[in-house]
Amino acid sequence: MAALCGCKRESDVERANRDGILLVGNTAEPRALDLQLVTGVPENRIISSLYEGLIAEHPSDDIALEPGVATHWEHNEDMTEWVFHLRPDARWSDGVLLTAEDFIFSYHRMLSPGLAAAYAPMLHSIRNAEAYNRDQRGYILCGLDGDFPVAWETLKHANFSGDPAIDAGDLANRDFKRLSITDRKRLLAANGLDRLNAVQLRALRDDPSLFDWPETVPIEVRTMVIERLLDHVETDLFEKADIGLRAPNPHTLVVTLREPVPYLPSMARHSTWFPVPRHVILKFGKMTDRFTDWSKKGNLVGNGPFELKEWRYNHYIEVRRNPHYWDAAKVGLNGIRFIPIENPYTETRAFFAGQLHTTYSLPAELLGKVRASHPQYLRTEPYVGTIFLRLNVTRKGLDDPRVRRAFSLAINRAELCQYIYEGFSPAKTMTPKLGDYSAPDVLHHDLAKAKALLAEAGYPDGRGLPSYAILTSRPHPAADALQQTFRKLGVRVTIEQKDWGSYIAAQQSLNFDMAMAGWIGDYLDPTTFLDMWTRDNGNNNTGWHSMKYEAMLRQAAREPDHARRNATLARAESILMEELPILPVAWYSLIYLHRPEVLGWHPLVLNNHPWKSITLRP
Amino acid sequence: MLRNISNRLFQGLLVLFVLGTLTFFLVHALPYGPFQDEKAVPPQVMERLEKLHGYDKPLLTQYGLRLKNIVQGNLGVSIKVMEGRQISEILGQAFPVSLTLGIVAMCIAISIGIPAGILAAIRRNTQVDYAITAVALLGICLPGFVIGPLLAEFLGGRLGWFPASGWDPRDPSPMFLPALTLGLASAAYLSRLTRAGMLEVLNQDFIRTARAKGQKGSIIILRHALRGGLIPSIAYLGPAFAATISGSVVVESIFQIPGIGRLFIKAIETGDESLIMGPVLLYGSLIVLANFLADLLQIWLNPRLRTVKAP
Repeated sequence: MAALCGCKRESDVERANRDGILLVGNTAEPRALDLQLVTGVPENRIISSLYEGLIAEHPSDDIALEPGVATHWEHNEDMTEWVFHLRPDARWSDGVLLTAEDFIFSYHRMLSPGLAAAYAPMLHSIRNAEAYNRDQRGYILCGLDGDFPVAWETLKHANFSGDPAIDAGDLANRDFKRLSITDRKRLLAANGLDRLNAVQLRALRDDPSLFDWPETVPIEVRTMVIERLLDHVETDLFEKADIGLRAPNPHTLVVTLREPVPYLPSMARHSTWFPVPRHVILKFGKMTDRFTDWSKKGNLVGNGPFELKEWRYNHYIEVRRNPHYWDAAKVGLNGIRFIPIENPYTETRAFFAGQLHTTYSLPAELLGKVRASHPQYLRTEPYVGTIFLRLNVTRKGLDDPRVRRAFSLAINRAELCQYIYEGFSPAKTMTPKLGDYSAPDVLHHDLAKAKALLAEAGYPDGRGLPSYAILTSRPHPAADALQQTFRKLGVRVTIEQKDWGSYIAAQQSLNFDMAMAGWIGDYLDPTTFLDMWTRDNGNNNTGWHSMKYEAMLRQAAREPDHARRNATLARAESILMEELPILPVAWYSLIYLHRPEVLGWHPLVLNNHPWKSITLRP
Repeated sequence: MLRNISNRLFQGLLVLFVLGTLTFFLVHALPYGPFQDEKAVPPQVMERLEKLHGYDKPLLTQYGLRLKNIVQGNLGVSIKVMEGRQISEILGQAFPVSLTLGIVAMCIAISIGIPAGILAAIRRNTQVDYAITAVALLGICLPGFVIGPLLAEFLGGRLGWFPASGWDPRDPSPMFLPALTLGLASAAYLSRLTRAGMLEVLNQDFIRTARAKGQKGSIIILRHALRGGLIPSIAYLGPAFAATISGSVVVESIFQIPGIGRLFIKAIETGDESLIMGPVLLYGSLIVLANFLADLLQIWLNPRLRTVKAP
């Protein structure tokens, strides 16, 4: 057999070192490379090599802002207006000039309701962007018009957004003209004014009795509203919405926000703020088409240090140096090959067989072994993520904050991090260490106090509490450990394992007791960990909300002073940690294997390594 | 004969129809849909996506549309895993990989399993027979997820003879370890089946007659016994080939092979109906076809089957 394939082959890494190609283990095949439609980490890693935002990542400093397409930027006093000065030599990878209009087009596309981009809320701090993105047509056409006879404060009580409590069944699929009056009324009320089509609006204009208007809106105003909606039915309201984006000249972008966002430059490093090539997208279809060929190999055009060279499904994606990149001379690699190895054991084997420079993750069971045998390859770095136990506070027992606090006190986080989450650090709060935000250090382990609290809540030794199930999506030693922990309080806990899809669905419909969960931050600000616990936030899924907490978050949102803002956020987080709808367990670490010949790769808590500063030691 | 064939083909189409219908309704009965995500999807986005993919229509209407499209040869686009990509394009890249792997694995299985089985039958109840039978038993019992990582670790990692993982259309060397892993299990079965088949034939009168006529042992084996002795193995080969291609999920994951198996699992996890339907129909056709060909081969090998009337 040895004769068949020669002796020891030249490894992939040795060949790649010669060619200047970085071999990256990238866990999964990207769903797509249209940066406005994808949200995952594997996609993001590839996209950040192909594109560059206004502001770029620094290779070794999490907070430092590097110029990207923008050379410099400034803001007004209350941080609601930001001016970005774009470099005049910025180009797309096909040589076309990149201008401020491209950024406006990009944000227009990202926000347009027709594209249905799941991550569009990342741009909602731009003035009126949220109303446009959520297609609040009534508000845009009537509420934003200063000359409209009735103020929005009065008008907004009309049913614009639809009543989710009304079940219209499949009425929407039937011919409206042939529906009975009752069914018509039901459908209109379920949809709301903003979502009516031309036929429905015309019917409503001809027969006002089909819709329940509030008494405060005069008859003639009702007709005006309908006429306006009808005039603009199915048209794009971007221009009408007076969105806070302006390009006074091709190299200046002015962004106006609805509230002060002191962390805007940091947030603008997220891929949702990257530009997309208008001239290419429109060549392959309409702006809002999700399925065109623009982002395929051969068509995709970016503005980053690399360009797409090869894309083989589930096999690899290769990017090569982009000659049109403004800083091309400083790009250290000739290319990067992203290899989607989902099985972490296969990835580890591939690394030790010389097929990868850097892996995505190392299975926890192998950590000790690698630490002993190959410490030079092992990397353990903090990451902006938190593992927590999500509680359903609508369940009996869990509705009492004292019970939740007792559960939290019972958890020995240090021990969990020693034996199960090896390399992770015990969570002190929901928000892990990021930037200069110092979160209140409140979580600790005290079993005696936990028992006392449980007794105080009326459940001494767990008597009277129902049995709870911990929901997981895979066999989870931490779930077993927590089961044992809660048993010490006298609480019966079972483990319920569901497949990934059902696990998510159960949480979103509050159909669970407790669930093992995790959250990875999107940008370096505590709000990426705190905003989700508000009422109606789709990621809350605990049934918990607090007026006081939300008031505190709103106060922080209006605060332009950085230190005061952080202090307010810390106070909000204290409320969260007092109420504990979630029990933080551990702060994530990145644990992976990495070859020493890769230079310029430093620990970064967001793990967004700027590819252009990486080089290979020959 | 012709009627027999057309009958089997019709049965095959019926099987595919039932398979597709069951798949469609089972996927739609999943407690999760393709549009939800780990992070919550804003309701207006969800609504728009449902509309875009026709999920806002009644289920039976969706079924009708789907059926019509598939009959016209349009498998649709992936809804989630590779959103917007034509299923035919995805399968077009992944299927040749799975097929190549399957063919190489079967070649390995045949070239190990059948000679081993013949040898065991000829040397019945000797050390050789016992050794082959024992190894075969071990091969049947040890699943791919044990053999695969062992081969990858030793032949791939430590000795470095073959790449431990990956795939390269221009270089067949990464193909060897996964094909061996897949092939060994089938080889084990094949050797047992061949041994049993050969033993049965070797005990028959016509073999005894041939021996009595003084023919050479090798001619008896190759010309007279093999044809009958291989019948059980041939019957197994068809389904085994289809099963090797469709069942390579674990091996694809261990060796990082861009085949259909991994895609298929991901499609199921996310409820990506069209990306589930594509491989299901493809595998279904493959199994139907493989069985059909195995039937034809058996008829050719076994003259007694030719006279059987179609039911």
